[in-house]
Parts: sequence; C-alpha cells; structure tokens
Amino acid sequence: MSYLKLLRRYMAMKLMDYLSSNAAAVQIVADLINALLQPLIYLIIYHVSPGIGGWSFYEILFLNGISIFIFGIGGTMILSMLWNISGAIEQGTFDTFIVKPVKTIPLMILDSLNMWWITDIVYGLAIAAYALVKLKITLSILNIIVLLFFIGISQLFFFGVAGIIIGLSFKFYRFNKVIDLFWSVKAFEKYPISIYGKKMSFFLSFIYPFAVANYYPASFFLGKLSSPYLLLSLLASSLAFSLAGYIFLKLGMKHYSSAGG
Amino acid sequence: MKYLGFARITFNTNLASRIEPLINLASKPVFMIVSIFLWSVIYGRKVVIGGFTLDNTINYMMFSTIFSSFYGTMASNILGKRILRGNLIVDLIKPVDYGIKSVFITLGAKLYQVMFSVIPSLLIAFLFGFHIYSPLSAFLSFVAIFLGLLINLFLNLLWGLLYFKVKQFFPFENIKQTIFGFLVGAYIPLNFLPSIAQRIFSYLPFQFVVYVPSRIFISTYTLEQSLIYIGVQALWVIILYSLFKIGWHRALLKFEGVGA
Repeated sequence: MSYLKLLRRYMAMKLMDYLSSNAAAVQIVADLINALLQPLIYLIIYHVSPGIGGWSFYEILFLNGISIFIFGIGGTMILSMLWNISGAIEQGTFDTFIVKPVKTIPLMILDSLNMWWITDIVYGLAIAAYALVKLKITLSILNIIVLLFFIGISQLFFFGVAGIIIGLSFKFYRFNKVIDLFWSVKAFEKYPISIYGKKMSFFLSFIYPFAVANYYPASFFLGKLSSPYLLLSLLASSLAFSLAGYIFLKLGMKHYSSAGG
Repeated sequence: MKYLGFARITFNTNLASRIEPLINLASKPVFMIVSIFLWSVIYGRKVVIGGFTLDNTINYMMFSTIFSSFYGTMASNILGKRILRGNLIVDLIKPVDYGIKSVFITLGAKLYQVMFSVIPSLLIAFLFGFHIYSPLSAFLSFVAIFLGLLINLFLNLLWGLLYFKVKQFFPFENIKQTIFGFLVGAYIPLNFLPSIAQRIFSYLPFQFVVYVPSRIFISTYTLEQSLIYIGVQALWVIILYSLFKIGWHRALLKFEGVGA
C-alpha cells in the first residue's frame, strides 16, 4: 500500500475519531479562549506603552496568528508524535510500529496524526487574516510561496525536536517529561525574537531554529526581511536539525527492549 | 494527626521522581529571560507604567515565575479524574474531610516544591538580577503566597466540582488553566489593566493568589496595606472553603459513583 493511500486512511480515521468525540465541542471553545488570551495581553501592553520592538499592534497580532497557525499544522502532522510514541515506549507497546510491513518512521508519523489541532489552524488563520486586513496588506503569489516555504521548514524543525526527544526516550527512563521543556521554550514565540538580543536571536534562528515557525514567516510576509541568503540559511539549519532528529530516532530504536519504562 | 499522613505520602511519592524537578527548573530561565528582554523593550524610555518601574515589573514577573510551582495546584485535576473514573467512592468511605485532605496533600507536594523548585529557582533568579526589596516585605510576601496557595487550592476544588456535572475533562481543565492564569496576574501585572477591569478584579479572590503577594514582595504596598491584604486573604480562604463544603455536600447527593 502506498504511503499516500495510508495517509488518506489514517487522516479519515483520525478525523472520524475527532468528530465522534463528545469533548470536541468544548475543546473548540477551550482553544478559542486560549487563542484570544495572547491578543488580550498585547492589547494591554499596547494600551500602556508605545509597543514592542518597533512592531505595531496589528503586526504583532499577525505574528501571533502565524505562530498559532504553523504550530497547529505541526501539532496535526508531526508534534503529536512526542506524546504518542514516547507514551508507547513507556508502556512497552512500541512493538506495534515495528511488526507492521511499513517503514517504522513514516508509520510513527502517520499513527500520530492528530486532528485536535485543527482548531488552532483555523484560529491562527483567522487572527492572521484579521491583522492583514487591518494592515491593508494584500496577498501576493510571492507571499504565499514564502509562507508555504516556512510551513515546510518548520515541519522539518518539529520533526527534529520530536526525533531527538523520542530517540532519547528509548535510552533514558521517563525522558518524555522533557516535552514540557520544549513547550516552555514556546514562551519565546509570542514576541519578535529581535527583542531578545543578537546572541539569543542567533540561537533561535540557527542552532535551535524555533523562529522558523513564527518570527521569520511573519517578518518576510510583512516585508521586514527579504534576504534570499537568510532563507537558504534557515532552510539549512532546519534541515540539519531534522537530520539530527532522524539520527537520534534511528539510534534510539536500537535500544528498544519492549519492557517499557 | 491523621491528615499528616497524606502530606508525608505525597512528599515521599514526589521524591521518587527525579527528572520532573530538573525540567521544571530548566524552564525557569526561559521565562526569566523573556520577562527581562520583553519588559525592557516595552518600557523603553518610560520610567513608570501603571505605577511600576521597570525594576518593579521584572521582579514582579520573576517572583511569579519562581513561585509558579508553589502556588500551582493539581487539585481540580485530581478531583475531576476521581469523579469521572468513579473511584471517588474510595475517598468517601474514609472518615476524612476531602477539603482538608486536599490541603495536606498540597502541603506535602509544596514542601517538595520548595526544596527542589522554589529555592533553586530563587538562586537562578538572583543571577538574573532578582533582588529582595526589604526583609520584612519578603517575609510578608511569603506569608501571602502561602495564603495565595490555599485560595488557589479551594478555587481549583470549586472548579473540580464541575466534573460532577460534565464529562469532558481535558477541555475544561484547559479553559481553567487559561482563565485562572490571567485572573491571578501570572501573565501580566493586573495594575496594567484598565481601571474598570481592576475594580471588578478587586472584588474577586483571584488577585490574591499571585498579584497581591508579588506586590507585597516588591514593596509597592505600605506595611499597613500589606497586613490588611493578608487579612483579606485569610478571609477568602475561609469563604472559599465554606463554599466548597456547601458545593461538595450538594454534589454528593447526586453522585452515583459509576464514573463516566
């Protein structure tokens, strides 16, 4: 069976699972409240001060919308591996991924598809679209291509994160708790990384390229950045990070013992 | 005293986990760095915003970060799961008051948090420029954050009663986390809000969890104001505990013990 066919089947299955859940409606409300919290904080900040690092209110709202949108895609496609696979390792049920007649890593990704993040994709798009209207910026083909480019490389980055954490979960007892640490770094995504100084910006761009999922797509879209060399450098750092994740995953799987832990 | 056993067992259970406190600790500098850079940029050339200097705001945010694992509680999470799994019935056959039992479980967990999260976080924060304004305000703020913990505990238990009615656990916990986090002043000092919102919030118990203890710590209240607020906190603890007791007895009348 081709991977495309598998993807279709898994997506249909996960979507049915989501739609049939009693909790889905309440989760939509919970996600809405969560999505509106950060704009509310921006409103308060812009009410008492001139702003954040030269970004207008609607520019920073756009950054927030793009971030929620890209993390929504990441959560649907890649990031849910963090909980799904590390949970299977802890419970000793990872064997189900090994015995099936499909390559293990693609199967791990397919099995971890998570439709509960779809609301984030919708809310993120809605916030970003609202900000764009207020900024009077019209969509161009180039803008859309740049956005697609960043959606792609941010998934590479997410795969790198998932690969490293899951790879180490094979080796170390209850290593999956590190997921919380990854989540705490998300505190950086709410504001432009330019405010954190040069060293931190460099770290979040090229060592741990977290900013490809929020700051850079927003900056290129808003015309604050335009260097093609920067695009290539970000692509290279995201590729390197995903390769590291792949290596960690491969090495980690060699340690799997079915015993759990 | 029979309740002390709950505190001891919780403390010992927490001791068994080694990686959680390390991860919790490793995340603290992230929030501290974000606070320092963000508020420095926001203040720019401004000296005072909402009655706070830049130093006040950064120390407020750091105080909130250091004590986040202290005032935070899993009470609604634990109660909700026990109701929805039906094993609350085990608690009901024991001759203990669930509210007081929760207090002691929380105390056991918090003793562990003080040792492995609050004290190391304080040491990290000092490296980032966190400082004590006066020994007296520091002492009073510790008393206030302890009372803030009890207020948060009973607010969480009151939220937990919701699970006698609803079956969707995770979405409601998400909603609680977002709303409570904002109302207690963990994300932004509440004095930055418009005055009408501040007036409404002053009638609610939430600000006494983080906002008031943090303001006592950064010495933006007089001694007299601080003591009055601590008194109000004690009053809120009694009111919320009483509300929980009333809600608990009413909810149990319809509890079937089956789970969801």
